[in-house]
Amino acid sequence: MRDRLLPWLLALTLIDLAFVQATGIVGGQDLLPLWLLAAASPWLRRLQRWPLCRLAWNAGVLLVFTLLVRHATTTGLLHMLEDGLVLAVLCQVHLLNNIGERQRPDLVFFNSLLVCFVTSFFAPDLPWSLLFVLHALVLAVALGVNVLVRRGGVLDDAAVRRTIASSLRHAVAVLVATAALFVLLPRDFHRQGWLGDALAAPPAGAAGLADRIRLDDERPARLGVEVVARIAAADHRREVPSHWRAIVFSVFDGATWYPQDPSDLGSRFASDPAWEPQRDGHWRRPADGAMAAFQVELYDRRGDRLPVPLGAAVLRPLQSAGTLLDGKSTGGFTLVQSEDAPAGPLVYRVDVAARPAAVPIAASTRRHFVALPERSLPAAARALAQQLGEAADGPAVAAATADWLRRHRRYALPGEPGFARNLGEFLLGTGAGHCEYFATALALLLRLQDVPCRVVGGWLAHEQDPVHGGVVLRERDAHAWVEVLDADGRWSTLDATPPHDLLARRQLDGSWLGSAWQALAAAWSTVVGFDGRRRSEWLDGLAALPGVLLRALRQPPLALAAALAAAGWFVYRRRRRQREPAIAAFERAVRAAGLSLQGGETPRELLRRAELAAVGPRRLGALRQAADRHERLRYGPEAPDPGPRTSPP
Amino acid sequence: MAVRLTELGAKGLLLLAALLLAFLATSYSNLFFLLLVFCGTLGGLGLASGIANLRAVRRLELQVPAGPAGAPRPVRLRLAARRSVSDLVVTLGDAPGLTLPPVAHAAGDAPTTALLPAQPRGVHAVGVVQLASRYPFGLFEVRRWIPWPGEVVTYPEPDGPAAPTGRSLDQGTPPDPVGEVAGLRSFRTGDRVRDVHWRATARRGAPIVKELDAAPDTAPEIVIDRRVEAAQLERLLAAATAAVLAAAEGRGAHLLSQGFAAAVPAGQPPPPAVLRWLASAAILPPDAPPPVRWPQDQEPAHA
Repeated sequence: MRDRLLPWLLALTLIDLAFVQATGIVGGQDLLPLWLLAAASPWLRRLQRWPLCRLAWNAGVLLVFTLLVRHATTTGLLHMLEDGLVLAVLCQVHLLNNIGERQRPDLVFFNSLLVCFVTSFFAPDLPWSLLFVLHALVLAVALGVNVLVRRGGVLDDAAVRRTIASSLRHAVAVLVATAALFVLLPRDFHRQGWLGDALAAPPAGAAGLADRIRLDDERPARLGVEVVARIAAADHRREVPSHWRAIVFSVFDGATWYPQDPSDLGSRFASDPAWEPQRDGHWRRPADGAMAAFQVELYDRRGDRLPVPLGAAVLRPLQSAGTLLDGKSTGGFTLVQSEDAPAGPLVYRVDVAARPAAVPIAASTRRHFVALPERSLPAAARALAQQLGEAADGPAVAAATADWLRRHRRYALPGEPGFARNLGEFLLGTGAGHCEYFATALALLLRLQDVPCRVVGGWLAHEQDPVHGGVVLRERDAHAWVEVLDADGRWSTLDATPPHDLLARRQLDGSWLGSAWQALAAAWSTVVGFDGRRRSEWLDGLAALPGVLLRALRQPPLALAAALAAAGWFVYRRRRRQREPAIAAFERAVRAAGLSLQGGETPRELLRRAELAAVGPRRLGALRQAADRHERLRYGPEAPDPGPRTSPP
Repeated sequence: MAVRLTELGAKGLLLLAALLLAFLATSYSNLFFLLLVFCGTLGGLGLASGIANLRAVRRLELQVPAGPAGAPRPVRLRLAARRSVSDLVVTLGDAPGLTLPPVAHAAGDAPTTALLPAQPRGVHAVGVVQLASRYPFGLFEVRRWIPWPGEVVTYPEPDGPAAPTGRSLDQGTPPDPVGEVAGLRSFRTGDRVRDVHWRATARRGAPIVKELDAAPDTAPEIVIDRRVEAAQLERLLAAATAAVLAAAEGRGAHLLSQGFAAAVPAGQPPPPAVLRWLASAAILPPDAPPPVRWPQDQEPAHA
């Protein structure tokens, strides 16, 4: 009887392994033995009959368990999570290989749910969501088959097939109801738990802007596809600037970059031309060269910074109700939103000059931008700076250093094979790094060569928007680069990240599969980032739905189509209700056998024809059963008059 | 209708409570909330589907034949439901021993046959039939009771060489009449092969058959004196059952005891009243009157 259930338990275990694999926390080589042991469970279970094999298996599991616990308690938090996840799936594999006729599979179900819960904190991206849907379907079927198996009794193929079909229907209903409740149920999206964030999941390693750049963050990066902003040039012949800055970092302590603070420089006018608010609500600052205007629709308001290019000279809010803008000393803007800010994107127009205006730079300011960490500076940095420092002037040094990094260092995302464990490995070339590594390496090498510079976080605009025109910024387009201070007091952008490698990971796949994947990822992003504002939008949309439908039905073609569909559905339901199940089953069996009833042919005659024809034994058996049932129904003895609800013996 | 948590459901509820506690203890997370809603929906929809599953039953017809003690017997079950009913367990009354094997799926009005487990001798009055189901996820068990004013009659296990064991008596095939050989005659169309007298046929060279007299009215009397110990009565009843079964297949008999007299007709299944008496007979005190004799010139009114 358990044989009916075991394939589904195996499927659950494999999905659990996939959940853990999707987090990227546990290496593939660590999970490979578990994949193999799970896949081999149909054979390994047979070995459990011999006590010696059972003993060896249990001793092995105990040994691995002990090693994992020891490793977890002697290493850092990240390894504790890694060991915990390995432990969870090890338990699943162990349970799978030890379920006999007497053991109940309850723990497999619950452990599987727990793995699903825990991994959601570490990999809340599209693969996890697809695995979750698959998990829900398999779990429902496993529970349904478990009901039959636990009851005992006759359990033939037909009963199992019907249970699977019924469970799948239920699983779909559960998923739909879950989605509806997720949207409709009111809750506090900003609720702080009793334990605060002590037990909360660490923020997902999503590509995006942060207040600090931490190079020791080893979490795998998630390249979200949610749209952050759309940018279009007023003059469509102009190209949209590639680097849209949001936050500027100037202090590095060896592991973390901290934002530029005007108090460190003594004045808010020390490094950049300052923004001045104008009477009509726009902002202006000095700049040089010809201007080009761009309109920005900012959809992601979760960040508190406005992306603008380095050469931005005028900023004019167009649609910013409920939002307060404030020009910063680093050339950017912060934004503060009121609670009742309306839904929809924040729209503004920005005029960009060819280059920012020059600012008289004080010696103390210059020292600030060449400052190096007192400790934790990798030795490779000094050696490399010495090797590269042959150019005569600052711009040449900067260009040569950036070019060298682009050509000699590899690009990779955290979690990918070969990713550097620290900045030293990246500088040595033994490990690859992402844009923050390239920007940090460039900034350190420049500062070691006495070239003032800073690191900038923002968005890389590269994806053309064929539907709306212009370019689109997505979550995954978050980027870091360097700004170098020229001798005349102007900042210029310098990006050391190899553009080909960078864009290869961020470009849209043009195929229909790629487009579908992007659409799904975007949809899933709305679930992960669901908040009160989106809930209100959904509820408003649902409330408006009847009106929209009614308006649509006023169109004669649509009204006719709806009436026809309703009539067809009514006729279909009525016919289905009137039809005897045995007759319907017989007709299905005839169709499955590839035959059709001829005029005047009885089921027995058709059965004889099927026996003569090359109908497979399985389908022939099903046809025979269906014909028997049909015959009993049509020609069997009349059922007694039911009378009351039940009939006595 | 009643609902209770199964063992799996109770464990699941504990897990859900623990997760809810963790959810409240930590700051709000969309995915945590989504998974909690999923678990809650799984339970809620499972409960609603389980109730709807049993509500779909409109009528239940049961035919429970009398059967011998110590052997399972087939029960005919006919379920009328609005749609397919899954994981159905039928229990006659509230005794767990009267539970039929589960039916995975039942659809339409097609009758099914289930084996009622072996029962001890007796007559078990059943007022209601309990339907139970753990469909669809096994987290809840939904039970529904339907009135069924019937009884389960279990007569003694036959103790004799002539008794057909493990077979319901009302399904037996009537035997051929038995009589004395009155003479021989030539074969005529319609004669049975078993009546052919092969020696005479061989001697005469043409088929000869035996001509039988009508069976004489010499039905034996089976008399049970119930003024005995309980164990002895069980042995007597077992022997009487074997004799009744043999008589039903043979020349018939009369069953007599204190306050009971019934004829067992030849070639027919034993009358239900006889089987019911065999199932329910109890010992009498020593000072009870002896069994009555069979009246020679009349049939018993209650046979």
